[in-house]
Amino acid sequence: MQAGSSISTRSQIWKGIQPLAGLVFIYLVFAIASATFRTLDTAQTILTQAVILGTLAAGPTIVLISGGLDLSIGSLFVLVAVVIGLLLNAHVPIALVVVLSLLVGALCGTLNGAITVGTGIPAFIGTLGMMKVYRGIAELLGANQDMSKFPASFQAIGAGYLIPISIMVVSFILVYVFLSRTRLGYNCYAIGGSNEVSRLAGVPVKKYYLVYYTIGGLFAALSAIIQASRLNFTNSSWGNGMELDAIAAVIIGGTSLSGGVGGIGRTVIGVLIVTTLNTGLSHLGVSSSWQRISIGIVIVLAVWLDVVQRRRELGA
Amino acid sequence: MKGIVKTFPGVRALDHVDFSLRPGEVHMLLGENGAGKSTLIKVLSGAYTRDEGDILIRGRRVEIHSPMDPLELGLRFIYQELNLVPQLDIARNMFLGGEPRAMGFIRQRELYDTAARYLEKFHMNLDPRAVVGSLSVTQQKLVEIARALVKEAQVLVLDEPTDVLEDRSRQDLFGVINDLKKSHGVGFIYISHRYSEVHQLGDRVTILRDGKNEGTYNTSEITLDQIIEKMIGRRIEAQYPLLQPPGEEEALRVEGMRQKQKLKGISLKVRKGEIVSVTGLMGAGKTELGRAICGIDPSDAGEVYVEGRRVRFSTPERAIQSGLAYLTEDRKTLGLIQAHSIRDNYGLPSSPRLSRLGFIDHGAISREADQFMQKLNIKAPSRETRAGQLSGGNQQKAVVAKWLGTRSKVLVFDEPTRGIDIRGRSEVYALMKELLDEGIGILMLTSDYNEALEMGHRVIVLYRGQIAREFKRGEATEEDILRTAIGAGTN
Repeated sequence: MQAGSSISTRSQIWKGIQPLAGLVFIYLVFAIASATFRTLDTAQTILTQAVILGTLAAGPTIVLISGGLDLSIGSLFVLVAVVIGLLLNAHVPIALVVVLSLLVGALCGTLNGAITVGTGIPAFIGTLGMMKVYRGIAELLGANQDMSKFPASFQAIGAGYLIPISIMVVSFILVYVFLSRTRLGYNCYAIGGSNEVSRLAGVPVKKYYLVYYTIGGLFAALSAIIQASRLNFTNSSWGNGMELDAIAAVIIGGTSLSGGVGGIGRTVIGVLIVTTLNTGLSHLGVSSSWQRISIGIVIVLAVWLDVVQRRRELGA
Repeated sequence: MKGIVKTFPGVRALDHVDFSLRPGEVHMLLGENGAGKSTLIKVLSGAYTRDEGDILIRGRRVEIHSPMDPLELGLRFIYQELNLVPQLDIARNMFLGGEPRAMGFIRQRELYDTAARYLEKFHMNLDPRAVVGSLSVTQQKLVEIARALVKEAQVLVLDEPTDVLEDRSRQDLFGVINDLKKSHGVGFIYISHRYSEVHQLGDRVTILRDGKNEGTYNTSEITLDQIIEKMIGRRIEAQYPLLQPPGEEEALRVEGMRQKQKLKGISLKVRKGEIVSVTGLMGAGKTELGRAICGIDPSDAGEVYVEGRRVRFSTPERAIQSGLAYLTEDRKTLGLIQAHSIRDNYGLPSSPRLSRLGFIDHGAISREADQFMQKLNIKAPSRETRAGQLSGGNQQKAVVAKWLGTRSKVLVFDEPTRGIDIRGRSEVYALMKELLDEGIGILMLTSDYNEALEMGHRVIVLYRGQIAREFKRGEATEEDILRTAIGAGTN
C-alpha cells in the first residue's frame, strides 16, 4: 500500500505538469520555427488574444468540476454583446451598462441552472435548448441595429494590453480563491465527484448548482463586455461555437468532463495552449482551417492521454 | 493452476499458489480481504498477467492474456456487482453479443424460444420476455448464471454472489448450483465471506492467506473453526465486544413513521449509549426506515425527536444539523467519494461547521482528519490517500469519522459490516462500542441476525413495513428472529 500510494502521488504530480510541459513544448517549437514569433511583442499578443477565451472559460471550469455542463454560454455571450450595443446606443451611463450586462449574464446562467436542477432534464439537452433560445433573442434584438462607435470610456475597458490582461488575471485569481478557499468551491468538487454522496452529507446540491451556473453566465457576460469594447462594435452573429472552444480549453488543461477533478490553473494552461497554437500557426502562415484541425487533434490527444493514464492507474 | 506468482510493487500478491477444480464440484475459495482471492481470479480471467506458473485445462496448458481468452476456454465469471443491461429483457441479455442471426437480422422467435428452452433446462422459473431491471436481485443473478451457461461454460466463477441476497433467495441459488453441478458437470469456484455457506454448498475448500495456499480440504473433513483459524493464522477470540448497559436519557424517538407501502407506522426509541438493532428480510423496510428518519426520502407521516427535541426537516442538511447521521449500506457509491482523499471525504459533511463567512478552514479539516484517522485507527499512508484505495473495514471507519465530524448524537448504521472481513468487522464493532461510551445512540439496520443479536441491546424485527416483534438482549435466538422475520407466528 505504501509503495502504491507514493507511485500515485508521483503520477498525480506528473499529470499536473503534463499540460504545462505541452505548452512549453508548443511554444518552443514555434519559437524555433519562426523569428517573428520569439519576440516579447508576440508573447504580449498571445496573452491579449487569450483574454476573451480565458474569461469565458473561467465559467465552465467551475461548472465542469461540479459535474454540470453549459452549452449556452456562447449564445449568452452574443446576447450580452447585443444588450451592450443597445444600451450604449440609448446613451445609458457606462457603469450602468457594465452592471446591467453582467446582471443579464448572471440571470441567464441562473435560469440554465434552474432548468437543469429543477426539471431533471440532462444538462446537455437543457442548455442546448437555451443555446438556441438566447441566440434567437440576440438576433431579434440586434436585427437592423447599428451597434458600433461606442464612447471612448467604454472602449477603454478592452483597449491595449494592460487592462484586459489585468481583468483576466483578476478573474482567474477570484476563481482560484472561490474553488480552493470557499465552502461553495470546496463542495463543488464533492458534488462533481458524487451528487448523491454530497446530498446525503447535507450539501444543498441544487442550490449550489444555481450558483455555479450563475458564475458561468457572469463570466460569459464579462467576456462579451471586453470583446465589444475591444472591437468597438457588436454583432448578433458572434459567439458561434465559442462554448465549445471554452470547454475544449478547460478539457485540454486537464479538468475532467465527468466532474470532481480540475482547477483554474489547468484552465489557464489550456487557454494558453489553444491561443499559442493559433498565434503560432498564423505566424507560420497556416490557414485558419488548418488551425482548427490542429486544435481538434490537440483536444483528442489531451483527453486520450488522460484516459490512458487513468486506465494504467486502475490496472496498477 | 500451478505455482502461480503475481507481484505488485512492494507486495507479492500470489506466492506459488496451486489450485485445482474438478468437473461437477463446488470449490469454495476463502481468505480475508487482501489474501489474494481476487488476484487469483483476475489472473484466471485475464485481467492480470501472472509472473510465473501455469494454467491447465483438462491437463492441457493454456495461455490467458486477455479477457477474451478465458471465454473461449469455457470459463465464465460472475461478479458481486450485477453485470446485465437492465433495460433489456432476459432473452436479449442471455444472448447479448451472440444473438441468432440471419443475414444480419436477429431472429426474434428463435431468440426467445431458445432462451425459454434453456431457462427450463436449468429449472429457472423465469419469463424470457421479462425486463431484467424489473427482476429481483436473486432472479438477476440467475439470469447471469443462465447467460454464462448458454455459452457452454464448463467453469463458473462466482464472486460473493450472495452478499446482496437474503436467506431464502440464497437457498434458491444454491438449488440451481447443486442441480447444475450434478446434471451438467459444471465446476464452480465460489468466493464468499459467509462462512456458513462453506458446508452448505461446498465440496472442497481452499484457504488463501497472505498470497499463499494454506491448504485444500474436503468440506466434510474440516470444521468452520479450523477454517477460520487457518484464514487468520490465529484463533479469534470474542469477535463482539461486551456491551455495557445503556444510559437512561433518550437519544432518538420515532413516532408513527409512515411511507406509502414501505413503512406502516413505526415507532421506536433509542437511548444514549444504546444500540437498537433493526432487522428483517430484504424489503421489510429497514433501509427505508433509516432514510426516512434522516430526511433523505420524504415520509407521509411521523415524528422524529433527537434528545427529546422534535425535529422537523425534509432534507439531509437539516437532519445533520439536528445531530442525525445516516451511514449508508452502500459505502462504495453512497458513503464515500472513491476518487477523493480521506481528508476531503471527511470534510464534506462538516464543511458548514469548518468554515467562516463562506470560507473553508483547510487547516482545521486536515487537523481533524488526522485526529480521527489516529483515533479510529484508519490504516492509510496519509490523509491524502484516496478513499477507493482503502480496504472495506477502513472505508467503514472513514465513513464513521466523516459523520463523527458533524458532532452527531445519533448514528443510523445501515449494514455496518457488509462486505467487510472478520478482522475488519471486529474493529467496526469495537468502534461502535466506543461510540456508545461517548453517549451516542446507535440504530443499527442489519440483515445479519447474529450481528443483530450480539451487537444490539434490543432487537426489533420488521415484517412488511411494521414492527413484528421486539426482543430484549439474550431473549432470542437466530431461529426466533428468522421465524419472526418471515412472518411466522405473527398475526
